[in-house]
Amino acid sequence: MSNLFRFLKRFHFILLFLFLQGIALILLVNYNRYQSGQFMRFYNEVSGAVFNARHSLAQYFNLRRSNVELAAENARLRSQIEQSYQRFDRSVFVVNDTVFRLQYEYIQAQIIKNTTSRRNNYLMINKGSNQGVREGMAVISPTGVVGIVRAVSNNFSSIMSLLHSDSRISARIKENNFSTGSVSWNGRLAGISQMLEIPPHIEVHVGDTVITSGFSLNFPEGILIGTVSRVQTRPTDNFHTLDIKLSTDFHTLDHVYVVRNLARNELDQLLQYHLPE
Amino acid sequence: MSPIVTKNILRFAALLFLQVLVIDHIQISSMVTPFIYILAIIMLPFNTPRWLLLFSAFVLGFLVDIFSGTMGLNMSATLTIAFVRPYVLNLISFGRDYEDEEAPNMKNLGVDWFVAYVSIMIVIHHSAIFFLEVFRLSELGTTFLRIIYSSLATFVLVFLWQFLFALRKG
Repeated sequence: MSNLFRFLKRFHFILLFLFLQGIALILLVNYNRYQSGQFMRFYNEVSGAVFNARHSLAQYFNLRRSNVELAAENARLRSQIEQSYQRFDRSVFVVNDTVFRLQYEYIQAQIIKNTTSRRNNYLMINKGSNQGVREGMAVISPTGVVGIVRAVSNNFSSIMSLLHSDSRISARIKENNFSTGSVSWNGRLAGISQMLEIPPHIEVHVGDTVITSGFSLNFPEGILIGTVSRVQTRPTDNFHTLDIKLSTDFHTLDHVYVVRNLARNELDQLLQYHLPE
Repeated sequence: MSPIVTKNILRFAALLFLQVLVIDHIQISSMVTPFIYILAIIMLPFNTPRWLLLFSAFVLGFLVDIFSGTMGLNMSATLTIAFVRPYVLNLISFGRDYEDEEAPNMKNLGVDWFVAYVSIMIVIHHSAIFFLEVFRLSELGTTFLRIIYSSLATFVLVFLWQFLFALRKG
């Protein structure tokens, strides 16, 4: 027994280190599993409250730019409302409500924490499950795609940014019929994402527009992702790799919308039939 | 509480808030991510008990992790430098006996010694954090660049901190 104590006394430093390091590594490795757990909810709520206080102060410095962005968006939306269209004779153009059904709803939110300089970047917004945000919902800004909701607490949610190593957004190129690509980020420059493995027969030019494909369950079709800024062709098999300049400026992001797909449940149920047993 | 304990706790808190409320919100580039908070471990007095060294690193890393949304990442890297600290101090003592209660800062031990000590600690911490964050070897080149640039940034901040606080007379 006394030998044991002597051993512990002698090696307490390295034993304590290994013990604490073990805890840290377990947390690190299991991070994804904790994300929807009670622990993460607490974690979100605590840091959310602090960042919310910080943001309410810092927001004043961005008011001018936010106003300009929102005014621009207002103008665009105003041009789409009914009053902006010329009205034809009603007897010819009947508005048929059964043609269109609302599929997406938008929840307005503000960013209270944002990183762009890590390999895996997250954002935090001031809306959570109480306001209808759920895991897996898409997040867009007035200028383009932002990311996907990863964890939700009562009043805050953390969002996996496009600038994250696990981020894959199903995309297509507007100018041609290629529609099965996915946009990911290689971690080098904060405004430039990549599209890999574009087959050789697809013609791509610098300046082409990249939009969401609508094949995913969270993003509506046609949301702007960015424009092609560089095309590289692999000499061995002529496959292309595209650099995409993101239309969302992650450095100055403030107002975002969380997209709620009203048909999500129906689509999920349908997809279950295709899953292997 | 003795003034030395109070001073260290205050520094701990100040560096933590500086990191999570100011530095983390300044996004310079994906290559430059300074971590000034490790100064709280670097500057603990020489006679700090070893278990306390590890324990403060654990708590500090945990708090920074809560605010950066990275479970265990800062914790693990900070524990690593707390563990190597006694060995690094031995390695660069060059036969010198560190006086009791004296904290490792530039005023007490000179610029050369301080530069050597701080650089070793920063590079170890940043290597741990960036390799753990990427968790793959395929982006080796980028990760190395990230370590170099971020270490330089942290180094500059550490010196600013020294000039602001530790070098004042009185």
